[in-house]
Order: sequence, then structure tokens, then C-alpha cells
Amino acid sequence: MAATFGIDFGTTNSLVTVISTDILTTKKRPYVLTHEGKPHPSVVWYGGTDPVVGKEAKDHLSQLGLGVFGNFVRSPKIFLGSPYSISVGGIKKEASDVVADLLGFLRKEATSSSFKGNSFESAVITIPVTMRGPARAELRFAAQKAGIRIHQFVHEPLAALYGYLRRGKNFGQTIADLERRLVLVFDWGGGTLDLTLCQVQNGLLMQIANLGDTEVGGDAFDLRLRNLIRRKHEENFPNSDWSLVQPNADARLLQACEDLKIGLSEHSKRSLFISDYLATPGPEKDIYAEISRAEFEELVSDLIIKGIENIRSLLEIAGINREAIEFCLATGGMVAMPAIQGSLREIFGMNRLKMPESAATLISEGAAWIAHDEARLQTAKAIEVLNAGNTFVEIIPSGVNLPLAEESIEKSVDMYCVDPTDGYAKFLFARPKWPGKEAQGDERIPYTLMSLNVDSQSKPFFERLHVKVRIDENLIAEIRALSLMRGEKREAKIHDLEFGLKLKGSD
Amino acid sequence: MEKVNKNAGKIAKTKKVKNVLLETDFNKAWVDFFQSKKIPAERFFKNIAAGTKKGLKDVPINVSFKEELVTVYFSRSNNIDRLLDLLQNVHSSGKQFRGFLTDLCESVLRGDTSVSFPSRMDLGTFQEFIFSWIGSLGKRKIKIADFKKLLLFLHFGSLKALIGHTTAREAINTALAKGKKQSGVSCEKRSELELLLQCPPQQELFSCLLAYSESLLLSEDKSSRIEKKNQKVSNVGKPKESNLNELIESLQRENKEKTEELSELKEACQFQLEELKGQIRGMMQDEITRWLSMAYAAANAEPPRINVVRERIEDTLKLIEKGKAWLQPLG
Repeated sequence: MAATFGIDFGTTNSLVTVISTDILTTKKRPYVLTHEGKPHPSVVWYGGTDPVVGKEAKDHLSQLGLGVFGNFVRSPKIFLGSPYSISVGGIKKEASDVVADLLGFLRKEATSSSFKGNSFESAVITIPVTMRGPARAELRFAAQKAGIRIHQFVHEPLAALYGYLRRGKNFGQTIADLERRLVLVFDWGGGTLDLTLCQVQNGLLMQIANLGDTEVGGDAFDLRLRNLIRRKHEENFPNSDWSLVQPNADARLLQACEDLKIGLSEHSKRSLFISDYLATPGPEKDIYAEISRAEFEELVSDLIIKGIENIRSLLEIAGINREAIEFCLATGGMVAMPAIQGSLREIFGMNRLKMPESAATLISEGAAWIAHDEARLQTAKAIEVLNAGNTFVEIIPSGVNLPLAEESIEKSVDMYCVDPTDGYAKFLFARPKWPGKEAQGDERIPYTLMSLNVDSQSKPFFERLHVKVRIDENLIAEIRALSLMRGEKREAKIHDLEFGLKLKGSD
Repeated sequence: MEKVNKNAGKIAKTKKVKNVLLETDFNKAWVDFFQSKKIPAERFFKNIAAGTKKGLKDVPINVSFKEELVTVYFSRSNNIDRLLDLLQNVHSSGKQFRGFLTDLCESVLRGDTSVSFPSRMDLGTFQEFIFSWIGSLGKRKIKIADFKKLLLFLHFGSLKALIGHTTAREAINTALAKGKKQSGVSCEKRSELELLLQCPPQQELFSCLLAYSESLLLSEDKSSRIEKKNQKVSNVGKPKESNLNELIESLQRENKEKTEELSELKEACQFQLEELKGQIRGMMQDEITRWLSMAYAAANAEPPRINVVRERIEDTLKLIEKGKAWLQPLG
């Protein structure tokens, strides 16, 4: 049976969702393929001959944060796109191999347990808005190693919004109602905080501006909490020997901190007890702490302020005020925290803040729906080059379907060097600040500057310049400029193209 | 006054005799038609119809008279022309004499010793008889006498609704094709005009065929009814088997679809069951075990951490309540 899969390749957790027919209702619905009702932790453990992935690996992890911890790799996707190998337990590994182990595990879990008979060969995979071209290329390579063909990339917040809209009863009508409205997706997860400002324009869900923050993820909150608890224990037992920490006790403490954090979202005060934390006979062997919500909020107030401040920064970048936002879709585990909810309500009010149930699965559901609906990514803004007349010449227009796997698009323009006297032809590649506002007088944001050697002795309008832009399956725009007389070449790459998602039924 | 009344009764009696053709007159008219008076069939029907407006409309054919008429018929060899003349005009005479003429025709055909006319009369048997009779004529060009006999069969078949136009045309075409090379054109597709055009250059045969074709046009409606009946009968017989095969195929198809549906349903139920079991397993292995272990350890600590025990038990109970609510619709 052919099926369409969506993968939320998250920083802390990963999930696979498949859209299939509910035989009882005969309607299509997303099936979230969890591990015992929970997402798979994005952790790979190289403890034995075979890598251990997911919850089993996480249960043995005693460190917080992202990266390599001994034989563990937490959130291997952060290493993608780096030219360097990573050292895991003293052994050098390519990031793509670690990611392939994680994706291979997700694929195996998805096909072996529940959806038997479904061939999991292709998927739409979500990526953070900050993931650059080389990282996308390496992710595609890693997926290939795991036997998954990445049909299309999609930014996490865009997938979350698509999943949210798809959950509604009348998808088409909702899209029509949202025409020209601005929506902010605020995804505060365990690893990162991602913000995307979107606008629906002619049935195209477009990203206006993106912002990512890797310093305020949920893990940072857990880390602060753990440090506070250890500090409190130290205060109670100043002579504690921290070198006597029992094996796996740190992992238990971390889990307890996460539970405590979640508990404080509902209760004003919670306590924690870890027995036999230290291998000593005295009372200091057990960790006991009582934390109030106020104390915790005070502890992480700077993180909350920093996270919320990102909204103001994003609105500033886009040049709009918060009243222009139709609604804010708040997802990710951290938005359950009362202090964060309070801040978001302060900005958007009760009615404009949408906090859907089962928000943890929204991104993977969105990815699966995108795969199922065959919603295509398109260029949200044109790629232009500035000419001597101070006007922008369009090379790749907006609304062009971006390449799928093993595809590419290519466009070129020919120009003449107006003033070769300094021996250079200079190019400014840019895009309009706002989608749909592409008139000459409208504001532009530059992509890159490029200069090309030309013959300084030649007459104006004599040296012919050829500019070619090619966008590949990894959504990297490669610019090549060539001076035909001198035969000089220059190349540049644009990794941060802005995408729009063509919505189903919007034609 | 009484005399007047008597005269009136006489007049009335005379009028009745004049207007109502007696059975004896009716019989005589038929015998005369075959024996002496060479009046055209069309006029014959008109004359006889005028006298039988009321009186003989429902007069049954007397068996002895029928036998007498058959004897009269066979007494002259060219009476087949007279009978064909009658048959070709019977459609224009209304329905009044069809029954009689059909009976007469059948008696004549059965009385013809050169033809083994079938005793049972149904569509299949009659049509089979026609074609086997044509086949028995050999490969040589058809004789005029045989052709007339064929037309007689066809008229009879048409009156008894045993043969339709298409089959009749096919029979004529087969008969006329004798002694010729195959044209390659399906006889079923030939119109009356085409049949006339392919008729051998014999004036008598041509006129016979022309007369027959004219009569066919008059009986067009009836023929279409026969065709339908024919179709219905053939559908009852031969296609029964194919209908049965189609039914079996359709049932097999349905069975396959239902099996697939059932398998999908099983798969979906299996998925939901696995999902449910997984969530319960996860809940028990993860949260409940962890919290109760912590509560147990806190209860055994020195001093016991009662608030930890209370909170974890509260958390566990809340989770169980949540699980129960979540399991409710399935119960």
C-alpha cells in the first residue's frame, strides 16, 4: 500500500506520521507513529556493536544539552553541514552517519510495528528555519543512507501551521478567510525556539520572516533546575562528595527535573526525591528538594524574556506591529509553562493566541499532510539583480515551484557592462522585502554582492555578462556570473531562500 | 294496423339477411376464391368484410370446413399464389381474418407432404426448420416454387410471431444466395431494397419478393414486437450461462473487495490496538513506575518525605484518571 510519510526531525524528539484512511470513518487522517505514546528522543548511543536509538538511548544519558556526551549524540542534526567529523567515544564519525542511524531507526519503527505493508521510502521532512543549504544537502545524503528519499524539505513552523489548519473542519474556507492575513508561528521546543511570520497570499502560505534561537530551548530550563537542586543539596550538605555520583543517577535526576518542570506548570509547588544519588552512607546520599513555581520562574526569567523578545525582534524585522497579527500559533512543550503563556497572552490577547491540543505532534502531522496533499514549496520572493539603471531585473520570479528530489530549476539573464573602467562588473542580488511587492520602488533585502573581472579597456556596453541562477533539490541557489570577453567566472550561493507553500485546493 | 306491423317485421327480417353474411356464404366465398373467381385478395377481403361486419366476426372456423378448404387448395397447383396473395394483403384487412388465415396456412403447410413441418411451434424450432429446409434445397439456384413456399413459411411465421424481419431477411438472403458467390455482406444488415437488388432476374420471383417486402412494411410494428420477443427468448436460453458466469465473477470480485476491506479494517484495528497497548505500556513503564518508585523510596527515606509520596501518588492517580477517560469510548 502506498503511503505518504512526514518526519518531524526535531532537535530533542523526532516523530513520524503517516496519512492513511480511517477504515471506520473512511476519511483520511494522520497516524502518529509514536513509541509507547511518546515521540522518539533524538539520541543515538554507541555503547555496543549496534547503535541504540531513541528512548533506550535517552534513558542512559546523564547529560543535558545538545551535542556529543561520551558515547551519546543528542540531536545529531546540529552537526549537519559542518565540514568536520565528530568524535563519539573517541571514534570519528560523519554527522550524516549518525543522522542516518537515527532516521533508519525511525523508518524501522514506523514500518515494523504498526503500518505493516507500507513501504517507507519517501517522506517530507521538516527542518529548522536556521538550517542552511549544506546542512540540508547532508541531511538528504543521510536520509539516502537510511533508505529514505526526501521528497521535499519544509520548515518546522510552516509544517506546524499547515498541520494546524489541516486539523480544522473546512481547510479551504479557512485558507480563504486567511487571505492576506499574517500568522505568527511560535514553536518553543526542547532544543530551539523557532519563529516564523507567515502570510497567506493567493493561496500560497508564505514565510515573511524567520527567526531561530538555540539558547532558550527547554533543555536550558531543565539545566537551570538541575543546577538549582544540586546547589540546594550542597547548601544542606556542604561536605557532599560529588565524585561519588551513582551510575545513571544523573539521568534519573534529569528526568526528575523534567517532571518537576512539567509539574510546576500545573502546581504552585512541587518536590523531588532521588534516592541513592551519591554512593555514601549518610543522609546526603539522597537528593530532596522543594521548588515553588515562583522560584522556578525567577530562575529562568531571563530565558523567558529572551524568548519572548524574539517576537518583538521578528516584528521589527518585518516592520509590522503586533496588532497586524491575525493569530499566534503557539506550539512546543515550553508553551505549557504559565509564565510563557502569560507573556504570549499579554502580547496577543486571549483570542489571538492559539494553543492546540497535542501540539507535540503538530509538526509531523503537518509534514505528512504536505506529503499527502502534494503541497509544493514555491519561491516566496523573486531573485533579482540590480542593473546600472538602478532597477531590479528579475532572474527567478516568485511563485515558481521549487525542485523536488533529483530536480533543479535554472534561469539566466544576459547583461552588458556599462562602466568597465575600474575593471569590475558589480552585481547586487536581492529580493523584495515583502512578497507581492516587487515594484521598482519597493524595498529590497540583499542576498549577496558579487564582482567580476572585466576588461577595463573595453568600451561601455561592449563586455557581455551572463548570469545564471540554479536552484537544486536542497533549495540552494547557486549563482554563476561570466564575463564573455575576459572569460572570468564568479560563483556564489544563497542558502536562505524564503519559501511559500502552495496550499491544497487553492488553485 | 296489424298488417302494417307484419310488413314491418318482414322488412326488418329482410334487412337482417342482407346485412349479415351467413356462415355458408362465408365458406362459399373462400372456396370460390381458391376455385373459380379470380378476384384480387384485397377486394376479396373488402367484400367479405362488408358482409361480416357483425355476424361472422367471432364465428369459429369449422374443422370440417377447414379440411374442405385444404382439399380445395391442393386441388390446384397454383393456389399457392392465391394464398400468398391473401397473406400479403391480410395486414391491410385489419385483424379480422388473420386468425382464420393463420389456421388455414398452418393446415396447408401441414398438409404439404413434401415438407416435414414441425409439430411443436416455438421460435427456435420454427427458425431452425426454415434454415434446415433452405439447406435441404441444395446448393443450386432456388426454384420459384420453392421460393414461394419459403415466403409462405415466412408469412405464417410472421402471423404466428415465430419469426422477425431480420431473421426473415436472413432466410431470404440465404435462399437467394444459393448458386452465387458470397458477397461478404452480412445478410442481417441487408435492407429489403438490397434484397430486391440482389434478386435473380426472374420477373415472377422479383414480383413475389416485392409483394412480400410490401407486406413486411405493413407488418413492421408486429415484426419489431417479434424481434423483441425473439431477443427475450434468446436471452432466456443462451445467455443464462454467461449471466451465471458474470454473477460468479461479480460475487468473486465483491468477495475480494470485502476481504481486502476486512484486511484493512484488521490492520487499522491492529494499529489502534498496538497504539493503545503501547501508550498503556509506556504510561506504566515510564511515568507510573518512575513515580511510584520515587514515592516508595521517599516513604522509606529517613526522615520519610511524605510530601513527595503524596505528590507522586497524586500524579499517578491523575494519570490513571486521564487514562480511564481516554479508554472510555473504546469500552
